[in-house]
Formats: sequence, C-alpha cells, structure tokens
Amino acid sequence: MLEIKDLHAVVAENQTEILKGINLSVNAGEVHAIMGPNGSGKSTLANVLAGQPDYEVTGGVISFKEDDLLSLPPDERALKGIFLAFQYPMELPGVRSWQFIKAALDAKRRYIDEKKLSAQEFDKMFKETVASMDMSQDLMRRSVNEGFSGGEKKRSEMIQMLMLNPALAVLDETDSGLDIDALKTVAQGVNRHRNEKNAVILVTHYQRLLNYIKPDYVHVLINGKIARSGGPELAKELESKGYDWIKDGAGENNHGKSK
Amino acid sequence: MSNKETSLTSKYARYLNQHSEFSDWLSTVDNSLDNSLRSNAMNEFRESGFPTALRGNEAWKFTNVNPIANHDFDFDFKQNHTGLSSKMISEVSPYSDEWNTITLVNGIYNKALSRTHDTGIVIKTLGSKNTNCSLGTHADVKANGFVAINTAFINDGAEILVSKDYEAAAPINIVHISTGESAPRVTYPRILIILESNSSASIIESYVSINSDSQFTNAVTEISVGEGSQLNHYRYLQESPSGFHIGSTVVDQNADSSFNTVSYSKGSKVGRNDLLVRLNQAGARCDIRGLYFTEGDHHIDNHINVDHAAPNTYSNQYFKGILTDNSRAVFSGKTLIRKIAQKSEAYQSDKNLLLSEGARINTKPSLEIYADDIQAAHGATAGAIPDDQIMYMLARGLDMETATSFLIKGFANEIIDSITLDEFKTYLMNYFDTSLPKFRFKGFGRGKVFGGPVERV
Repeated sequence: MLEIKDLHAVVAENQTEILKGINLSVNAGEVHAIMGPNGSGKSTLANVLAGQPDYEVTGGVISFKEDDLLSLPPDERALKGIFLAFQYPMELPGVRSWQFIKAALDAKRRYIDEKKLSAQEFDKMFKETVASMDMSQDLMRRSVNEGFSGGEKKRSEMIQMLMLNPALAVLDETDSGLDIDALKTVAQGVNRHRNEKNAVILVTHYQRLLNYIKPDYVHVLINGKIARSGGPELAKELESKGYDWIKDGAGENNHGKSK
Repeated sequence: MSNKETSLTSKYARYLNQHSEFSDWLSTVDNSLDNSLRSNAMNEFRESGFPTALRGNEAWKFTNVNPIANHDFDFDFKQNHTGLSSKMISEVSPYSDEWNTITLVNGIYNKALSRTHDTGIVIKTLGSKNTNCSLGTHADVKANGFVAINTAFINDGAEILVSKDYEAAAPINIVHISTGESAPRVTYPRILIILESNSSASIIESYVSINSDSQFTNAVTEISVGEGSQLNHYRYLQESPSGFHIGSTVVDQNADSSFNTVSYSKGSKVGRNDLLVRLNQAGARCDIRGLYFTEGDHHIDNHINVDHAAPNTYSNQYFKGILTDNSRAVFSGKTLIRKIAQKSEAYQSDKNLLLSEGARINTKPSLEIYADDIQAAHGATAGAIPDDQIMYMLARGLDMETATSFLIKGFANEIIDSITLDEFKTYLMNYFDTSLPKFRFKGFGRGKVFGGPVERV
C-alpha cells in the first residue's frame, strides 16, 4: 500500500535536513509503530506523508496505492485515503464539527464515485461514532476542537478517522498528553478501525500506547533514519533500555523493510 | 459673512438652493412638523458643512467624505414612487409577510408597502400631525454636517412607538430603498423609534437599493429605550456598491433597559455606520456587534461611541471584518466611562481577516475612563487566513476553496450567531453561503509552500 524509498526531507523555512533516507513499506492490514527519541524525525515523517508544506522533500520516492504520492496536493492525498491524526489538532472557530466532517465525507465519496449520505444517514452514523468514542454529542455540535481539552481533541481526531475510514491512518503522537482513560479510548478507536484492508502508522514516543494497540512492526527512528526494525518485542526492549543502545548500533540494521 | 462661511456657502450652494425650494414646497403641503427644527439644522449645516478636513478631525480621520461633498446630487422631495412590490423588496432584503413592515422609498414613507400586525405598535409618518415632539432631541445637529443636513431635509420618515408594557410579537422591519434614477440622488431617511417603559421589540433596519447607481443615502435614526425595556435591533446595509452611505444612529437608554444591536455592512464606495449609545440611567446595558465585508475599492467605517453616564451600566462592542481586494475598513470604538458610572463594565473588540495584500484596516478601540471602580478591556486584531487551519482541512480532503470559505464563514458566524431573530440569522447565513467569493492561497499548486495572502479564484 505504502512504499517509501530513500526519503529525504528538510524544514522548508531553513533547509535543515530532518529525514535522511527513510525506507519503509506498509501493507494493508498492518499496524506499524514508529518510535524514537525527540527530534529523530518521527513527526516530520507523518507530516510529509500528509503533504504538510512546512517540510520540503529533497529526495526519494513515496508511492501510495501505486500513485506517486509526492506529486499530489494534501487534499488529494486525503481523498486517496491518507489520514493524519494531528499531534496538535487545529481549532476551527465557527466551523461546526458536524458540518466539517460531513463536507469531508461528501468530498471523499464524490472522489470514489459513491453517492453522498443524506443528512439523516450521516447524522445516525455520526452520533454512533461519537458515542463509541465516549465523546459528548453536544461538544461535537460546536466548532471543531474549539475549547476542547487535550483528550477531547484526540477523541475528535479518532471520530474523524472512523467517519472517513481511511486506507492509511497516520497517528502523530496521538497518545501524548492523554490520561489512561483517554488513551484506552483512543486505542479502542484504532483497534476498531484496524482491519485487513486498512493500515495504521502509529508515531509515538512512549511504549505505553502499544500496551493497548498491538503493532505488527516496530521501527526505531534515530537521526532521520530507521535504525532498527522488529516486532512488538522491540518496543518492550526500548522501554527497559531506552534509545541509547540503538544509537550505538545505528546503521547496522537500517533497511527498515518490514517484509 | 466670514470668509469661511462664504466659501462654504458657495461650495454647498446646491444644498442651499435645494433647501429653499424644499421649504417653499413644504409651505404648500400639509406637513405639520415644526419647521424651526429644519431651519435651525440648515443654519447649523451652513456653519459646519461636511467634515471634509482630514487633519485635526479625529472622528473622520480615516474616512474621506470629499467624494460626497464634491458630488452634485439631485434631491427630489415630491416624488411619489409606484411600481415597487413586496416581492421586489423581499428579493433584496430580509423580508417576511408575517412581520410588521415599514417601507421608505428614497426616504419617503410608502403606505402601500407598509403594514402593521401588532396592536401595541403605533406608526406615524413624520409629516403627519401629532408626532412625538422628541424628534431631533436625540441626534444633535451639532454632531456633524450629515446629521444637520438630514434634519434640515426631514420630509416624511417614520415614527415607531412601542407602547408601555407591550411585547411586540412580530419583528418590525424598516426597509429603506433607494431606487434607480438617471441622475445620482441624495435621500434623507429619518426614523424615530420609541420604546415606552417595560416594552420589548425586535427591529430590523435595512438599507438596500434597486437599480440604483451612485446614490447618496444620508440616514438618521433616533432611538429611545424606556425604563426596563428591551430592543433587539439589526442593521443591514447592502446598497449599490458605487453609492455613498452615511448613517447615524443615536440611542438613549433609561434605567435597566437593554439595547442589543447587530449590524451587517457590505461596503459602499464610502460607507459609514455612526452609532452613539448613551447609557443615561443605572442598570442600562448595550451589546453592539457588527460584521463588515468589503471588496473592490469599498470603504466602510464603523464609528461607535458609548457613553456610560450612570452607575452599573454595561457595554460590549464586538466587531469583525472581512476585507479583500483593495478595500478599506475603519473601526473606531470609543467608550467613555464618566466619574459617576461606578461599577460599570465596558468591553471592546475588533477582529479582521485580511484576504489580500491591498486590503487595509484602521482599527482603534479606545476607552476613556474617569471612574475608579469599573471593569474594562479592549483589543483589536488583523490577520490573514491561518495556513495551519487550512492544512488541517486539506488533510481531511476538503479542497482549498472549500476550506477557505469554511474559515471565512466560520469567522463571520461568531457575529451571525449572536442574532436572536432566527429569520434574519438564516438570511445572513444563506447570503454568505451563496455570495462569498472563492479564495485560494496565492501560488498554491505551483509552489510547495502555501500561506500568506490569498487570491480570488
């Protein structure tokens, strides 16, 4: 589904190189966890996938469902099935969640030649999804994320993900700043989304999210490259040993191929 | 005669001639309004002229009225307009058959297009007998030449009286229509609204035009809100984009009354919404909100003054502007808290969305405080569409045009949402849905980076 080859990216503003040759392939049905210390480039990778213009790709290729992803603007990437759950979800004053998600779903269904849902059909699905994420219906009638707590914002991201049902969900540190209940709810959302057709990339600094979402692969990103890849046991190892021991071995096992 | 007077007299000779013709005509018709109100006002105008000097003229610093002063407008006081229908009015302004409607065509009360359903509302034309003697006591002819000349040319506007203890069931819709004529014309709509004690009403004042070009509307509305009364007031300005509009509203509030107003101003060539609210007695509250949208070379100036002249009074000014192309807007909010006005609260805020590099806002909220036990805050912002918000929406699959329009409407919604009259709220929302231009970031799709100014699609 997703094939990243020798990806290099810089911060657009000052041309500082962050990603220094990433290789990764993700297949349908897989959950990949990308871990690594602060500043290793995890979030940059997530943002580059979504087409965030703060980063400029200077080398490499990303293909997504056989398309050259890098040639597509952010909205078309989303329509093709990439969903970025933001680390810091934006507040959209005056834009109601209901209306925003309806417009996004309408756009997606139009893109894949499906008839748009009627207001009633949408409303039913929306209410159910909101309830499944233990989120207040009233809050989701108001402006997108406005005045939401950190946990509510992350739940709102998961609601959007479940409503849009993307082929590839990229969660950028969705677990940061969450208490254990919110973390469990978010994990529930991801597990509900997970199926043989969808893939998930979890970007996380901590192992604790992986207690609730069992990844198929764990990759450790150090200094803009995948320094080590493995199964779920790698996350446990990181928890007990930290990242330093991998730094030492960086470059020895950096092919990052999951298959 | 001083030099100043001579030059004013020659500059405004057209107005003086029009006024003497008007006075001659008045003496031939049954118009019972005390003529001294008009003649005093004309004398005042002769003294002051229009506020054309930009230097040392703080209230008009950013709004150049020379294009108005230098324009030769016709004045037709005898006109008797037919050919307009309710349907035509409903196409250009908020309208409902269920509402009480008062229509002024080119400043003249039009009986055929006016009707009242509510028994506790008394409507009189200003030219008729027995009108309330308080006409002209709220809006001071010394305020500026525009108020003076409007007063000098009072012909047949309307007086609306909401009786004591009466709660108006249906809104009162005052429609000011300018109609198309071959020559540019000036009109002087004049309204007096009186809410007697413990009454309540919703009033919409619309200023619109039909087939009209560069007309000049010089309007004055006087409002008195009696003790314990509540007025929800809406002002809708959408006249010809090449026209001029100077509107002055003066509100006097008694004890424990509340005045809530929301205005929507679409830019004119030169547009000005002048509002003065005097909180004369304890417990009076006003909430003043406005939304303005300018494009092309429009200019809109919201000039708001609040005078806290009694203890325990409250005022809130909240304005938002959407500016594009080379348009310009001015917000001047001035709140005076007198020494006597202890325990009062005053807030001011003006926020602007600048959609192009050529658009410009001059915003100046200011508080003048003489009491020591009060609460007050003010602020102003101006900025472009935040690119991180756009990115967030693109990441959900919305295209650039839809995303920007969502954000612009979202920005406007905060003001529109404060409208309690549902029909008017829906009207404005629909209007924004259908008539807002589409925008995208400049260079989007060509370069890798977006943000900054947007361009029309």
